[in-house]
Amino acid sequence: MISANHVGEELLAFIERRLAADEAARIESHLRGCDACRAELAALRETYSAVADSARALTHLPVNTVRGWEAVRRRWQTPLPIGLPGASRARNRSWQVSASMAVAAMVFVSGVSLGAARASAPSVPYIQTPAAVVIRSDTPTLSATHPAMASHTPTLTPAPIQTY
Amino acid sequence: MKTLGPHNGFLPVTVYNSNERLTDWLAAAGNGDEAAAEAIYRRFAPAVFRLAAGLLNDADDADEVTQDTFVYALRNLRRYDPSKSAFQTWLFTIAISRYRNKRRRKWLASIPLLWFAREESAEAHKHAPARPLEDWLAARGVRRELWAEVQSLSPKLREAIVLRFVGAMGYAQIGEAAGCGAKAAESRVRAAIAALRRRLIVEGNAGREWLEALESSQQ
Repeated sequence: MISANHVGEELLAFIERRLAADEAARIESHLRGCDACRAELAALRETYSAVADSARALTHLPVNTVRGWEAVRRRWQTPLPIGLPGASRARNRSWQVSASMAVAAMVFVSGVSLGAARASAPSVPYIQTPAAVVIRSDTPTLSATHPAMASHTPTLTPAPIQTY
Repeated sequence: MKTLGPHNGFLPVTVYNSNERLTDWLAAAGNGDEAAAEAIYRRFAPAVFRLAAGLLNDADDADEVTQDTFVYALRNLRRYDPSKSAFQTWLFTIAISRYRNKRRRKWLASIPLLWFAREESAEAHKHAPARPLEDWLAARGVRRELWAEVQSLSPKLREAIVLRFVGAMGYAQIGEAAGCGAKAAESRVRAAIAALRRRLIVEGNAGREWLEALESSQQ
């Protein structure tokens, strides 16, 4: 932990020579009398130059600009699907389209599931009043049963039925 | 600028050389001039590629980020304002954004593996073969430990230190590219160096002696 009197916070600017002359003189003066800050400076310099050496090696990394340019040129000249100038805006738009399609798909799937559940409903025995229109309170659909079928269906009502 | 041709029935070809002003290239490329766009690419692509390689530690990923950066930049040249930043700073800002997207995608793609094999991932990583970029750097005297530690820094610190040392940017430009102020950028570089120093301390003489003492005490 560096106390307020030490200069650890300014050592990076000091070794990068970004300080004004009077500030640099103040740091040098402090360093002459402070073992902790001198040790801090030496350690900082060591790590700093190791990182700088690594970065310098990376700047010699070969780059295939011929192949790279061909790929960029092809993509640059390919019109965006939505026809907007910015790729990001197109991406946002395509994201919105995808989200809308996902919501639509979810609604469709839930609708199909509901329909399938209803389609299986006739296997559940329930009686219809002959020649009557029945509205089951748990479904929004209307269904009518032929009077001739009434005798073949057990008298069991699993769901409340409103008869009009 | 030199216009060649028409040769053998081809349209005239404009060749831009590196001594011409960047503003001319930008204006021409903004109007769809392919030769000007290529001149911009050839001049700045190496810097963007090395920055991306420093951030991603993978040449293929860096290549992809470089391509994404230039495709976006060339499509949006009208958005570049020379009064606000240097062109390279603008490119680096785009590159940082593309790098973050890439990192996010890679992270998302790794979730199933981490979920199902998280017990083994640390051990597998330990024995993973060295990657070509690491080999390339090691062959040029870069300590593998140091490069590995740079890659294990938090994303914000890694961005700051790579922009500073690989991108050779000033703190105001780093702040602009990374989306933080100049003070925060300097603070991140300082924190990154401090973190690297803490992690690499065993590499120094004093650290090595301490490590040897620790190992002998455990035998």
